Amino acid sequence: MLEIRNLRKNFRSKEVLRDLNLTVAEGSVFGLVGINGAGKSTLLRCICGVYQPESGQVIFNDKDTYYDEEIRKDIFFVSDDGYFPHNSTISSIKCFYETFYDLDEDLYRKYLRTFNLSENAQINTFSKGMKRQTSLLFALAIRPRLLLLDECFDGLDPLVRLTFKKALVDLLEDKSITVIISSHNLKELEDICDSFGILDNGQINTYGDLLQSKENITKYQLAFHEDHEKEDFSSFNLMNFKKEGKVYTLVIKGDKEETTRQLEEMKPILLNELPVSFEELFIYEVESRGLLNE
Amino acid sequence: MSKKYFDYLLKSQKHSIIFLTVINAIGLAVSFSAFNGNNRLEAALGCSLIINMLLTFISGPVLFRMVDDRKAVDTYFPVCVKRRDMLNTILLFAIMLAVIPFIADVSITAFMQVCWKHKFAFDYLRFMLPVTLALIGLTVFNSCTFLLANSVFDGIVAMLAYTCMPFIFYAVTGTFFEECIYGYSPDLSIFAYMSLAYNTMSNGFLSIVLLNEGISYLPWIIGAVLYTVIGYYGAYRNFVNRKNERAESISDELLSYPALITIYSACLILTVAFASGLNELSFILYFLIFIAYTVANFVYKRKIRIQLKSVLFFVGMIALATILTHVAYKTNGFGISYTYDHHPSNVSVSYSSEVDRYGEFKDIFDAIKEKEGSSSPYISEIEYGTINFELTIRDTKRDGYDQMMEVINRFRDSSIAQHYEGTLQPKYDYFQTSWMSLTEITATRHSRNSHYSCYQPLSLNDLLVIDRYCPVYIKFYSDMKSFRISDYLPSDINI
Repeated sequence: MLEIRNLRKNFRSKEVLRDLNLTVAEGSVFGLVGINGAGKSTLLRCICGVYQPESGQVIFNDKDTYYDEEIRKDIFFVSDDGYFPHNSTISSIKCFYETFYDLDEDLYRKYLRTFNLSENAQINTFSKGMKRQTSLLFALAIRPRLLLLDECFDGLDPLVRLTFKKALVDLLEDKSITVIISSHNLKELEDICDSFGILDNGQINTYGDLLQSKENITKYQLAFHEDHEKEDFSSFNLMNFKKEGKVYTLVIKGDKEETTRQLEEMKPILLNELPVSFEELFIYEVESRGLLNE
Repeated sequence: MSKKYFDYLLKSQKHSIIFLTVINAIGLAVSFSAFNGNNRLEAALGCSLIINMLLTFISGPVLFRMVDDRKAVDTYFPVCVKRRDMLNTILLFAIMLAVIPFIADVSITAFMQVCWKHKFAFDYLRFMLPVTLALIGLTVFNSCTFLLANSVFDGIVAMLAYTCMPFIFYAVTGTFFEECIYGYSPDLSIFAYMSLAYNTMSNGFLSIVLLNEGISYLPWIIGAVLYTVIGYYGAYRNFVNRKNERAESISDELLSYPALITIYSACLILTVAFASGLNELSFILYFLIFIAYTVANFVYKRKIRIQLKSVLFFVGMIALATILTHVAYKTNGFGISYTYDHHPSNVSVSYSSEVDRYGEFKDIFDAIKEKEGSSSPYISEIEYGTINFELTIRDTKRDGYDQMMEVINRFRDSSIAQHYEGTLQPKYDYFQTSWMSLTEITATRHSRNSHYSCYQPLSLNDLLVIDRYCPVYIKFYSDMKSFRISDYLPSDINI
């Protein structure tokens, strides 16, 4: 289990993470989302021990990830822009990883074939997507207890994305592996994440089970004979309101059945419940906090 | 120490190790084949010393460069190795890269000595210890200064700036004594000891040539140990306690650009102020230093911005240096210049003067003309020459030396007066032609070195007085023959 307690991280005078608290259960796939510059990469770097927290702790399996170097053997971080020294090849990078991690040679060979990568080709000549595949190859071959992926779908073509998601599912058969994925591609996250957290203003205030959270928000399409204004719906926990002629689109947070019952009492001539995607959930949450520019 | 990390370094640096082995082997092979006799052994050791000293400036930056790369930081710092162990392992590896080839080279050279001369080279092996310590000190210290910065370029700048710092201190201190406390030349060899790189080169080569004879290794070894201790402390602070977010940001650590730019600017301003006071040339030089200061700040902050505090710092330093220089001139070197011992118990004097028959002081040419006759063709041949003498007196208080000391002291007083009472730019008087250096043991048993220069040379009468105690030679450039002045111009000549 990963537990983050009152984590604070500053860059000079800029406070990036402030008293951040988060618990990620063992075996879960956690989607970390947030607007640009929210501090997602900083949080991942704090978790894997690259950045020293100003205060607070990151505890993984009862050990502090910054101060206890032994636990870092179980953590693997794939950054958004991998480091490949000049003239390096996959086999020379392997030399580094097999020194510090328990690299599974069979898995390494398997994913080398799956991603169709040449072991001795110079990485300098690789495309952005191939470099990303190289990083993911080692992540999958090492099978860490905690895998941190920063923008891991960036630059991957749809086929490779699918291959990687399948590989991740295989990896997650081992119930003790926890994955944290930060991405702006929420459609991809929705396919594989079971929990999520929205990072804003240096804290994670919205987090939990993805399905439950999606169920807690309902999008309605309504039409009335008479004219209604936003204020008429003030009794609901309204996250979004749109009016186009006689048709209203409302996003309401709260118990679905109770909300539907209350809306029916307003005698609409049309009432449709629409599913909410993770992307919409994120947008409505962020909009409701006023984090996006009008 | 981390065995894992060491293994990784061995694997990842195998090409560097092979390259270094080849370079050292080529150095030895070329030295052994291109020189003869003992020279080939000396050349081999000299070559090894240069290669491996250069390595102390390369190995640290190469092995520590990952701290200055954001992407590399994400790769290297999540690994399961304590930072302290990582630091110790990298330092050990860097030291081994510089020291092992050197030890191997010296051992091979000693072995060749045995083969060629059937004599075991204890001296070569003895010189291995201080050089090894110096190479360790330089590797650790250079790694430390490299780690002060947040990018590879800034790290190299910091490393070179700290290497050169003793020389800039030497320049400013030397200029201060030369100009502000005129005539007093204290021993500034402390600055040579401060530079381990300079010491290693000079003492290393002296050791190779003289085979340890008369060379004191102690200051060198102490310097090497101090460099190692200070370097390790600095490297520890800047690696183990390093915030990884520093990578690729501006190098604003106190001891990085902020200290370097301030120290170098201050030293240059002081040097210019001491050397030239306030004149047109000094204003040009101050302006050039300000340009250099602005460029240095641009390199530091990656933007050109002249801040009020920079201008105030500059103006303040110039004002301070100028006031100090003026006070020194007004007080005749804070009262030190004229306070020399007029009768030191022991003195060595070295005098040299350029003479010129067209110049203001041509009494020697007049005397020669008197002797040879004005129609002598020799008179038209001699135009320029040089006069010099060197004497050492064990006890100037003995009878007979008073007159000679009076001549010497008169020259000193005249030189000091010319320096302080003239303008503030005596250095730019190109006709200044006489130099006198003195090393004296004062009545209080203190050693004092002094250097004087004077527009007005010693007169012929003065030289004839000196010639009673030691030979004074004159040499004309026309025939390059040297004569003792009293032989050429007998004392009864009418001058």
